[in-house]
Amino acid sequence: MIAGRGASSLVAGLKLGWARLLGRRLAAIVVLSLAVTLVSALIERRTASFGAADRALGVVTRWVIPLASFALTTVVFDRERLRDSVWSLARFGLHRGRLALGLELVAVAAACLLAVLCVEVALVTCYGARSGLGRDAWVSGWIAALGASAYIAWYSLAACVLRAGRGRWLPLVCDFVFGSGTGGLAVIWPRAHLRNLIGDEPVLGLSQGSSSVVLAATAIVLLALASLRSGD
Amino acid sequence: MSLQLGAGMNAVLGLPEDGTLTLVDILGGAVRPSSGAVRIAGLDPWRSPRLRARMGMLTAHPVLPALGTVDALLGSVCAARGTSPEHVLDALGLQTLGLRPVAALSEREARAVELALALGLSEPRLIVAFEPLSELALVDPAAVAAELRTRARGGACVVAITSSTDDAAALAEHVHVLRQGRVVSSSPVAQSPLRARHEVVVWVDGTAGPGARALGMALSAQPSLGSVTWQAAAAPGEPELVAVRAADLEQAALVVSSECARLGAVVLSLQSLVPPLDQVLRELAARMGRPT
Repeated sequence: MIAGRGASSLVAGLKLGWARLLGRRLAAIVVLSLAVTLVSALIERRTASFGAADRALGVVTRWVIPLASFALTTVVFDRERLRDSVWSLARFGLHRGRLALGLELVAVAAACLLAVLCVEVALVTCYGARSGLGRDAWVSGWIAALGASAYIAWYSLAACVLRAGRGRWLPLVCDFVFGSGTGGLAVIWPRAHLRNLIGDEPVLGLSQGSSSVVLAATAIVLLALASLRSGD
Repeated sequence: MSLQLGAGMNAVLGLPEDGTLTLVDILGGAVRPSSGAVRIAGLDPWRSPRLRARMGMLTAHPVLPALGTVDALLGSVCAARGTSPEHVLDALGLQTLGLRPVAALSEREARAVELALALGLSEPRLIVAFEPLSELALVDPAAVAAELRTRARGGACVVAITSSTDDAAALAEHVHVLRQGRVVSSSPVAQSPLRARHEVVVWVDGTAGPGARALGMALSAQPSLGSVTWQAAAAPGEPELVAVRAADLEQAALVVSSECARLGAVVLSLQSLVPPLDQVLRELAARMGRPT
């Protein structure tokens, strides 16, 4: 019975997240993200076709993915602290933690899809008729998905503090400020590892494989912590 | 604040500024008390989903998740509670709302659905209802009162939180008066300040039979009644009023009824008046010997 209620709580959380996500706000986030991606890719290609794809990917990973993920958590968490965000269902006896996990998973799925879509648009725009798009599209796709998952995980955990989920601003700002470096302060922020994965300077000299592991671990651990912190 | 509630119909009487809204949130588990603890059947509603699954809540502002239609919401909620969603709406005559999207419900309709969900529990431990007889669409208050009484008789602790002395008197067996965050009085309703006035009021049609004066004179001669006052019609055709004070309201009502029948008075209404909240608070302050 307890396991059944836990599963039904997770399913209810997924449904709640999906219901909140569908609507004009999602359309606005998608259109804006794609517009920024497309315009930046066109500018980079026009400036110099050599390295245009890398520079366009830089814009997507540095700006579009963090900000779009932030906006998606705003919608899915309904501008509330994560724990309060699930109260409308938890009050009927559903597990707060599982409901929160359901919301987080919806946000992760939406952010991953949008991130993949944006990097593919950037690559297709920059590559044009040139060859090599296939492999680059595959690798960049999973890098974008990994980065988006890590960002959602950070925002989910931060949504457990401060009123109305305003804690999410902390990782957004810290990622911009500290994640841009290559020292020890940058190692926990997704920006630093995404930069490494798309071929820029690594953080603390980590390999690309290590950065992938850090991003995946960040996503799993922080999502679990956010769910636990929001639990009963 | 210290408050112990048992099975049966309880009313917490107070204004929102006295803490009634906070009390609803704390009892429901939405808010953790800043100090102290809430225990319902030994469990903390803030921490126990198992307990919340057996609690019904009617809040001041309905909090219903927009999960499609009302029927879809009932499905999710009842799956979590392990109950059947059938007949949840029917009990209050709300079946027409089943296909409506939750997001499209008015506040009164959403409150009615929330009440149906609160009453839809098969074996509730606690039902907390904020102003259960007002601000509800499509629901007969008498049906709500009857349903709440049925749950109370079934062993649930029903708590009606209200600022209406009429509603508290109509619903509750025990009345707890909340003032500035403190429970200043807890007593059975018959001994509460709600019955302090001990007054029966009868409205008669003076044009169709004996008027208030004739009835008042006749009642004044009755030794079991206290003071009797009457008031003529404010305008031609309007009802006339006789107010009778007595220690035993039921006995007084019987005497008034028989006198009306003997005289042939046309009675439009006969009721015992419940004093308003401010008068209840004054009465309490007088009992405790301090100003309000």
